[in-house]
Amino acid sequence: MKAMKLLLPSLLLLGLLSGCWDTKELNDVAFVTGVAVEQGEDAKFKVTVGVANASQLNVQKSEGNTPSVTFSLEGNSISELLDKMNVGLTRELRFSHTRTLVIGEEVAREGISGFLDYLERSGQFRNNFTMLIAQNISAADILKTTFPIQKIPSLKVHNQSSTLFEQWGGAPDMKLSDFIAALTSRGRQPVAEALTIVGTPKQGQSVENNKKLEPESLITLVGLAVFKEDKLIGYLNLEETRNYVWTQDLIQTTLTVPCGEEKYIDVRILNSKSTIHANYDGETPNFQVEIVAESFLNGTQCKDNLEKIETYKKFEKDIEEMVETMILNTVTKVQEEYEVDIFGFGEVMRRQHYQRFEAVKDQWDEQFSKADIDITANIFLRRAGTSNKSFLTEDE
Amino acid sequence: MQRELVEKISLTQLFILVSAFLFGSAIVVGIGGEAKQDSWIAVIVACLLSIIPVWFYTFLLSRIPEKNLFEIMEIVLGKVISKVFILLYILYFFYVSARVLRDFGELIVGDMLVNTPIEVISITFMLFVAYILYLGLEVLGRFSEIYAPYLMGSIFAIGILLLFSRELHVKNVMPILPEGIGPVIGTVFPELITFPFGELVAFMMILPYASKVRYAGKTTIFALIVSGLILAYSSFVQIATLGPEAKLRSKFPLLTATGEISLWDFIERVDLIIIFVVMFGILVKVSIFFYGGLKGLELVFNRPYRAFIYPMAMIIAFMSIIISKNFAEHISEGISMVPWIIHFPFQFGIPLLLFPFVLWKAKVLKSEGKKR
Repeated sequence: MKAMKLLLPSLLLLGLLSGCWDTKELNDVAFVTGVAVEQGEDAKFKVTVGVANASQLNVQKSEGNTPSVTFSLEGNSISELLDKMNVGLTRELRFSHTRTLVIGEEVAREGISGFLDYLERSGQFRNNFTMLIAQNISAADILKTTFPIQKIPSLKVHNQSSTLFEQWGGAPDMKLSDFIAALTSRGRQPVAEALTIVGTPKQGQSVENNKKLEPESLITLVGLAVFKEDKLIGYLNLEETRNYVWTQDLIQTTLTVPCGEEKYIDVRILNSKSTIHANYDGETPNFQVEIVAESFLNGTQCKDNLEKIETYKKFEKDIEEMVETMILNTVTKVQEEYEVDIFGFGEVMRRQHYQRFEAVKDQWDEQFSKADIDITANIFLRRAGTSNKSFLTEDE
Repeated sequence: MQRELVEKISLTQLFILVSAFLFGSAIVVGIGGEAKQDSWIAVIVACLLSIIPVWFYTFLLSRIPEKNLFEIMEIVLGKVISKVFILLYILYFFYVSARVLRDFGELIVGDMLVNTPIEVISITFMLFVAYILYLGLEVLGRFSEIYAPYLMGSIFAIGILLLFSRELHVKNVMPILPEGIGPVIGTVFPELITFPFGELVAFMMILPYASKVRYAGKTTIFALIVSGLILAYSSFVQIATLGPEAKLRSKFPLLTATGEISLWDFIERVDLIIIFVVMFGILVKVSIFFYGGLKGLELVFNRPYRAFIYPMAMIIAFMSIIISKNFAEHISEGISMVPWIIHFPFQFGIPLLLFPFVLWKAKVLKSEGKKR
């Protein structure tokens, strides 16, 4: 009986060990940093994974070998391929640290919602990875192009795009969840970032590329990929991308504004805030986009005296005019060329005039392309760096 | 008849038990989704409306003091008829605790421990619950008292962390009530009023053991309002972070929302906090339903409830597996059948039916007392 009394609790305690059922030692797993999906030659998809080679990232242990290994497989479903990667790789793959998803152009043109569902559903992926469209090049090459400072290609691209977004606004802050939200929303169409490789992709695939002062090949961001539903329909360039971001949530940017014949001022824009008012004018929707921002002068090529209030006023007016036409041009281009509401004007309409939007929500993109857009910028030029008068200013 | 010492829980403990009970599974599975971006309003409405049934429960209990629901039934309906009702209630309590346990199992297996069999989760969890209840209600109370600050702290921290991660988009909550109050009322009845708020009927087994019974009712209602507001807050955070569509799509919206937290590339992957919150809430919820059922068994079979704990715990663990074949079945039963067929009769039907009898019996007892 006494033995029983001891035995029973110890048997019950065994149950608590089940918490370790799912453990995996760190040296049994490999972390995937990037996934590239493109059109397969024999099957629907060709999936490439970039796996971090952790020992090469440690400064003391690094032997100068590759920091990242890639492997590709072809098949019809991403999830199967990702589980099958051990055809060529040793360890169990973990996707929780995936930072980039590169999608090939052909796949994107045919529609990507098929595999986005897996990414959202699996729970293995965090949604803080960047969605990228590889323009004119093979998506897998993005995962293979090294860079000396950030050695793992997918992490490099991730950092690159988030820094560009923060510093200049040239990349959309579009994560998987945002993309899917735009896809499911009737009043918005998704966008993703587009990138390409400058130089010869083959040269970038070796660690030797890291030893050159000017890399033989370099991944560069080229702008915005515009989607209709889940299909890629076109691109916007970097400037237009910045204008797009400005209507969303721009952090800061720099503008070059003409102030005279062939002369320019450089203005740093910060604390920008855009508000949109939606309305229906009979049958045409109209939107007032109001942009309020602060700015300071980075440099000037003009002679205007920066100690005078009038100069500030003139510059402010110049900047406002430029911002207004610039953004309006981008919106008009999207309206005319692509006819998809990537700006989310429909969502604003839904928030502000729910009934009107509900009536037209199935043809929203048509409504958007005929909408009147009015942009008003209100830019405050606050100060001009560390000097007062420019040395260009002539004494009067 | 062999009965144990009567246990007492303090009012603070009661308050904590009620709120943890209400958070329970409700905070994870995402309640009031049908009301889209207005689900937080639906939660507030349901919470305020639930004051009425809860007040009614405490009123019923106060007529015949210091007796729990089953003892009142026995006094009022007589030994034989009451046994039928008590057995039905025992089934109800055990079934609901099995459902709640399944919610938890699905969360763990679906999201965290993918390779672990769900049976193992259920069994280990029930062993823990059984151990706590074997030590008694007081232990459950003290246990909750220790963990409650962490629970509240975590829930608030999630909102604040999301705010600082710039993931809280208030525009997702707009427009407020675009189609009028209709959809909100549609989710309040029958979904929200029965789950989680109506489930407080299980506290009819606990309230008589509060140390200051006179204030127990008020404490419960206060806890109900506070946790209703916190649930609404959590619902608000979910919508603002994910948007109404993604919230509806997500199995465990709060978990998905927490996944969005990312501060300075440093505070990330804090989903584990949610698992903790959920585990604690589920533990309290399962324990209280289980305790209610056990108390019923004690009354029916005239043996101390501790004798039933381990076998019953294993039966609940087993039930949690077999009540549905897959997740879809589990959820659709929870939405289409459980509220109407199971929750309504037990939460409102039988107590209402009991009401005139209790009033009559209370009067009789009072006059008898006077005669003596």
